[in-house]
Amino acid sequence: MKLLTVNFLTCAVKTCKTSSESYPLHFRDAQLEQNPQTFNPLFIRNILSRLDWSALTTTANELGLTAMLPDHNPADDMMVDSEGATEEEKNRAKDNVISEEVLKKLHTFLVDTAVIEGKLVCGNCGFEYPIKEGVGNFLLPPHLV
Amino acid sequence: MGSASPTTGSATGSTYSAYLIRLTQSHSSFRRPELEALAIKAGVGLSFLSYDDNSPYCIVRISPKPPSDTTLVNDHDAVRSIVAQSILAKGVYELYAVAPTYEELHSQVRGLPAEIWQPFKHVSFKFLVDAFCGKRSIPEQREIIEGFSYLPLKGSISLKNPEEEFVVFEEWDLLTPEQHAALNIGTGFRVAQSLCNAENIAEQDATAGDIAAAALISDRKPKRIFFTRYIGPSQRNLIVKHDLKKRPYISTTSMDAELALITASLALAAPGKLFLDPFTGTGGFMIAAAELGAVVLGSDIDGRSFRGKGTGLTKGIGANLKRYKLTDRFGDCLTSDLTNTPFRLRGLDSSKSSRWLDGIICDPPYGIREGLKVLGRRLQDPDEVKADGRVIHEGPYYVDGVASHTLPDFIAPKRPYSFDAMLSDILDFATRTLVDCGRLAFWMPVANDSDEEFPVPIHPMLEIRHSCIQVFNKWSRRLLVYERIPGEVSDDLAEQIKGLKVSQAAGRKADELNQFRRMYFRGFHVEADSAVEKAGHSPEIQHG
Ligand SMILES: [Zn+2]
Repeated sequence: MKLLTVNFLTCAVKTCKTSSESYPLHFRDAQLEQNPQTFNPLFIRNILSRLDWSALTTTANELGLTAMLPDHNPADDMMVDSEGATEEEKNRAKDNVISEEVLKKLHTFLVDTAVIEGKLVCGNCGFEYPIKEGVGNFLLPPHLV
Repeated sequence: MGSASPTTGSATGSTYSAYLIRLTQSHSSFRRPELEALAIKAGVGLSFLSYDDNSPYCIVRISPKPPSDTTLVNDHDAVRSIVAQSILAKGVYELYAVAPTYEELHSQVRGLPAEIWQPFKHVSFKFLVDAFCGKRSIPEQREIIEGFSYLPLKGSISLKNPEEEFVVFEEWDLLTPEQHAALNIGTGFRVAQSLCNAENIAEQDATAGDIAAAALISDRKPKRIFFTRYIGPSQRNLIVKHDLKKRPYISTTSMDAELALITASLALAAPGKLFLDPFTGTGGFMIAAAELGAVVLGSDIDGRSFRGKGTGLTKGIGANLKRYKLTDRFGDCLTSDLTNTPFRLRGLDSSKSSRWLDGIICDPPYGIREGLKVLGRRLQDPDEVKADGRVIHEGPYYVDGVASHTLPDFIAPKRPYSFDAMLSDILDFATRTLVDCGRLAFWMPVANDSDEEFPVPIHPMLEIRHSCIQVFNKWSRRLLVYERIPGEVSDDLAEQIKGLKVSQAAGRKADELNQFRRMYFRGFHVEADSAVEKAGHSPEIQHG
């Protein structure tokens, strides 16, 4: 399971959804694998603003991959609060382009890095979702449905 | 073909920039929506000057013109880029003239300004006659072609590899039942088939006997004649590439490749986008969206469906991705249930992050072929059943003192799931995951053999863009395409939607359905806005 996908996942238990402890899910006994895919800058640019950066940072920390991740979302550099910004600041933001180097780094972290075996654990209810051969199982047992 | 020539020359003016798109006759109600979706994707306006579900020829022009800062420099390139991505078109042609008779056609062509032919004066070329529902003998074709000898084309004729290809399309009336009957013997039957619709029978298959039989209907004549020049192909060849017969991993319920590609196309699958099929099965829609450039995710309540015989993906969908060299566009597959989804839902979970999917495409399991299942135990003890049909049970089940769900071979029990509940789950999921203007495309039965009509589900945050029907012998199904209306679902709105029956819409076409949707939800907005004065003046609201 790619680290990108984990950013889009939370606990499947309905009563956990509203708890801030349920997101992101936490890795346990994670076995990492690098599966390089063709660099897709268009895709990375498109999804950047949809990422929850603090969740991504948590994931990186837990896996010891902090060095692979910029300290803030590069997409934020592209946006300027229209209220408080000067004309100059707005123009600078408009001309900003995320460098290919940064995009490549993000691609490596989000797309090329996957957890192949392990568990994702909810910080609220403690339920463990198993990952086997890269496929996560999020089905709930009857008592949690 | 035509690539080496200055083909943009004649079309930069506005007078002659009409194009003929040659369409297939299969899935005719999907053809116009496909072209419209491709025009949106290409960022250009496309107007239909002539379109008929019964005709393989439609006439379009690029209008309104693309803004000057787009990379598409002219109408030619714009229309080419649209058709180049089409599955249901066969090719696109610059249209010079259209008329009911050759006399009129030639008078139109002769009246065109001479500079139109300037770029083609010294290039190699060929002429073709293509008759739909009609047939022309070789001498007849030669006569038709010679009719254009007044054109100032001085280049050599090249049948194999011409720089330009001029095509005369003839549209004949569909065969009458009487003509069919007359032909419905021996080779005659094959003629009728090869003349109309059955495009899988190649023209070369016609024997001398067929042509003789065709003479039986020789008093017929074309009703419309088009004079055109070929400017670009479609990508119809993708359906050959994706033919299920040659796909490594499929099941009996896999959707055919052509319809899967169209579904992905109508949802605007394109490079850089993120797509999900939440009922992925053997991953046919994932393959289709990936083929069109999107990065794809899939989930299914039964992980065996996408894994095949292995624990990983290599024997299942992985084998298909590898075959088509689409591994680079694969996101993930996971085992999960839409009703208890682990995916981030805007407004429902603690993450404050934005919606994240560009497209959702699926063919949900309606229980027509397979029983409809959702996680949860089947009803056993009536005391355990809640009002909504869910089962109450405190704590896990134990087998020999071990919680059963922790056993390695645990298969989560499933319970039947109602049609309406599933549809509202899909719409709610789409509303909370799709980015603004993102699309949801899914299939649903229209009517089954007991003549039960299934209503179309509607949602205040989803505009219906297309509704296309595929008719079978005993039932029909519909492909519904929705677009996410910008804006968030407020808590108030969410509460109100819960109480409504979403599957209420009457009508068949997208605009009829949207009109109904607006009417239906207008009443409800009134109520939401003035919660204090809860007068019963909103007759459209139905509390379910
Ligand atoms: Zn939980």
